[in-house]
Amino acid sequence: MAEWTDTMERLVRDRERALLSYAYLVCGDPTRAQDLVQDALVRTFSRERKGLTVVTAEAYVRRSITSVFIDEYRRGQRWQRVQHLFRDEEPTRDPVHAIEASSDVHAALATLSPRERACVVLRYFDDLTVPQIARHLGLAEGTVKRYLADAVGRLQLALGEIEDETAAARPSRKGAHHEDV
Amino acid sequence: MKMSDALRGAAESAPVAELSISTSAVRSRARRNRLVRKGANGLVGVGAAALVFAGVAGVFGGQTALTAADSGVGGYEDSPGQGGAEPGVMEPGDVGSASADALCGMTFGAAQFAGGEVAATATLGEVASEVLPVSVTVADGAALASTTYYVVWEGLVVSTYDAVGEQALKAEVPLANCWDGSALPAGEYALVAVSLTADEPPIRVATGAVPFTIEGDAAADPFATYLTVPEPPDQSAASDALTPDDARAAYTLGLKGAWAMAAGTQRVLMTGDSADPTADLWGATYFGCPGWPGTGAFPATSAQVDWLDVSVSVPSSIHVSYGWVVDGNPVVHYSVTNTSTWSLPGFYASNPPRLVLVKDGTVVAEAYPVSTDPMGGGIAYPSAGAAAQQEALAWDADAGVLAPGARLSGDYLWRDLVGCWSSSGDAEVKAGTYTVLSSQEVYLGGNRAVAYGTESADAAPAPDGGDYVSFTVWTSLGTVSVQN
Repeated sequence: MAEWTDTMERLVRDRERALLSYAYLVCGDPTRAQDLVQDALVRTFSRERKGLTVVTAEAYVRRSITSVFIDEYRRGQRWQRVQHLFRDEEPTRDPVHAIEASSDVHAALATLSPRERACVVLRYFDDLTVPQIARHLGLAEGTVKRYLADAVGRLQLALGEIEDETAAARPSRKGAHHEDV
Repeated sequence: MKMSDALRGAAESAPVAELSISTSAVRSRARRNRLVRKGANGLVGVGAAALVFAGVAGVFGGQTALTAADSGVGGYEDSPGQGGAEPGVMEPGDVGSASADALCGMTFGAAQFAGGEVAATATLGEVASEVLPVSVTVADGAALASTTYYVVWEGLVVSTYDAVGEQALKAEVPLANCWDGSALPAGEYALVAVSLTADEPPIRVATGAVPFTIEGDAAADPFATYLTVPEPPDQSAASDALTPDDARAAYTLGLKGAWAMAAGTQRVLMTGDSADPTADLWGATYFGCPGWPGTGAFPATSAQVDWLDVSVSVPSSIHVSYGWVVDGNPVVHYSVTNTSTWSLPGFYASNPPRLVLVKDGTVVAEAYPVSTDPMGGGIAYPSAGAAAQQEALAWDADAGVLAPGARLSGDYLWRDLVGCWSSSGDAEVKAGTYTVLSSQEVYLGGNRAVAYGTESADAAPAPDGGDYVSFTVWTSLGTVSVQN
C-alpha cells in the first residue's frame, strides 16, 4: 500500500468522528458533513505532500473542509442571488424565533450565513487569527471582521455574552447596526 | 460563555455517529486525480484526459459516449458537486477503441460494465510464462469483431490487450503493463473482456471482472513508479519570496501623503502587522463603507510600492436597478501582474476582484463581479507576452504563489452593485459618476503548522515565529457613470 493511502486510512480510522463533527460544525448538516469530509480528503491526498503525517494530514483536511464548503457556497451564490425571483412567497428569516425554539449552539449557528459560520469556526474553534482566516477564505480582512462581528452579535442573542470575543473580532462601529448580511 | 468551549461542546454532540467515510472511494478519486496531474501541470494533464475521451467518443453512436465538452473537467484537481464524470474515469464509451493503451492507469468502473449489453463470460486458464489464457463465451453466440482485454489492479487499468478475429474469443493475454511493457508483478488482479460484435451497428459485449493471481511476493505499491507524479518545487519556500521584513522596508520607503485617486495610480496600505502592539492597525487603515473605524476617508498616509499591476476593464457606464446591473452585465477582464522581483503568496484563482465606488473620497458601494468560469478559476501565465501566454500554466490553487512577472487573470460578469449598509439596509446607489477602485490583499508570513488531536493539541512552533504583515493594494481604475 502506498504511503499516502496508509496515512489516509489511518487518519480516517483514528479521526473519522472528529472530522465529521468538525464538518458538521461548519455546515450544520450530517449528510453534507459526510460529503465535505470525503471531498476534503480527496483534495488533500490528490497531490504528493512530502512528509505528510496523520497529524499534519488532519490539519490539511480540516482546512480543506472549510475551503470546500466556501467554494460550494460561492458556486451556489449565482443561483441564490436570483432564486427569490422564482419563489411564490419570500421566506421569512427570524433568527430570534429560531433560537427560542432551540436555544443551543447548533440552533444559534444555524442562523448564520455560510461565510459567517465558517469564520466563526475558524476563529473560535481553530483559533486562527483574522488575517489567517482572510487568507484561507480568500476574503479581505475587513470583510472577515465584519462577518465575525455580525455573527457574534447574532450568536450573543442566543448564547449570552461571549467571553472570548476579542477586540479584533468585534470592531467598534460608529452607530451603524444591521442584522442582515 | 466561552465560544471556543461552546463550539467544542457542539462538535462533541454533532449527530454523526451513524456516518462513515469510504476510504476506498477517497483512495480511488485521489489516485485518479494524481494521475490526471501527471505531466507538466494540471491543466495540460486534464486536457490530455479530455482529448482521450474525445478521441474515443462516439464509438457506440452516442449511447454512452462522453465528449470532452460533456466531461465536466476543468482546471481544478477536484470538482465535487459538478456534473459529468470525474477526470480519469473510464466510461463505457471509452472501451473497445484502439486507444485502450491511453486508458492505462485510469479507474475501471467494473460495475458499469458488468454484463454489458449481451451476456458474456470469461474463463481464465493458469498464468504461465507471463501469459494468461482467456476464453470468452457469448450467450447468444454472436460473432465478435474485436475484444480488448483489460487487466485491473485495485480498480486501475494496468494492462490492455487488443485482439481481433479468433483472438476476440480466445487469446493468450500477455501480462505486461501498459506503460513500458514490463511484466506484471506478483499480486491480485482481475480481467475484464470488452468486445464489439460484428453487427452493424456493433453491440458491446462485456464480461464481469474475473479475479486471478500472479504468484510471488507482492510489492506494497507495485505501480507507484507509474502512478506517482513528481512534485513540483514548493513555491512557497522560494528563495525570492517577499518576506515581512522586506515588505515593511519597501512600504516605509514608499510612504506618501494624500492620494488623489487619479486613474491609473495606486497606493498601498499596511493593514496588519504582527509587530503592531495595538493589533488595531486594520482599524487605522480601514477604507470601506462608512460605519466602521476611521473617518471613512482614505488614510492620509499610504505608500507607493511597485508590487502589482492591477488591471480591470471597467465599463464607462452601468445601469443599476435595485442593486442589479441591468441592460446587460458587462464583462470585466481582471488581471494582476507581479511587477516586483519577489514571489508573492496568497493569489488564488478563486478570489474574485473586489471593486468599490467612491464619491467625494468616501466609499458608497461595493461590487464583487462573478467569474464567467463556473469553477471561478483564473489562469496564471508564466510571463508577459502572447507567446508565453499560449503556454498557460494551470493555477496552483494550493500554492497560490505569484512569481515575478506572472499574471493572474480572468473574466467576470459585473452583476450587482451593493450600496453601503446602514441601519435601514443597503443604501441605493444614486445616478452619478463615481471613482472605481480595486483592492487586492497581500499577506506575507504567518505560516505555521497547526496540529490537532488530544495528543498534540498545541499548534506547532511557527517556522517564521508568527511574523506576518498584510497590505491592501488600492488601484484607481478611473470612473464609471451609474444610471438608474
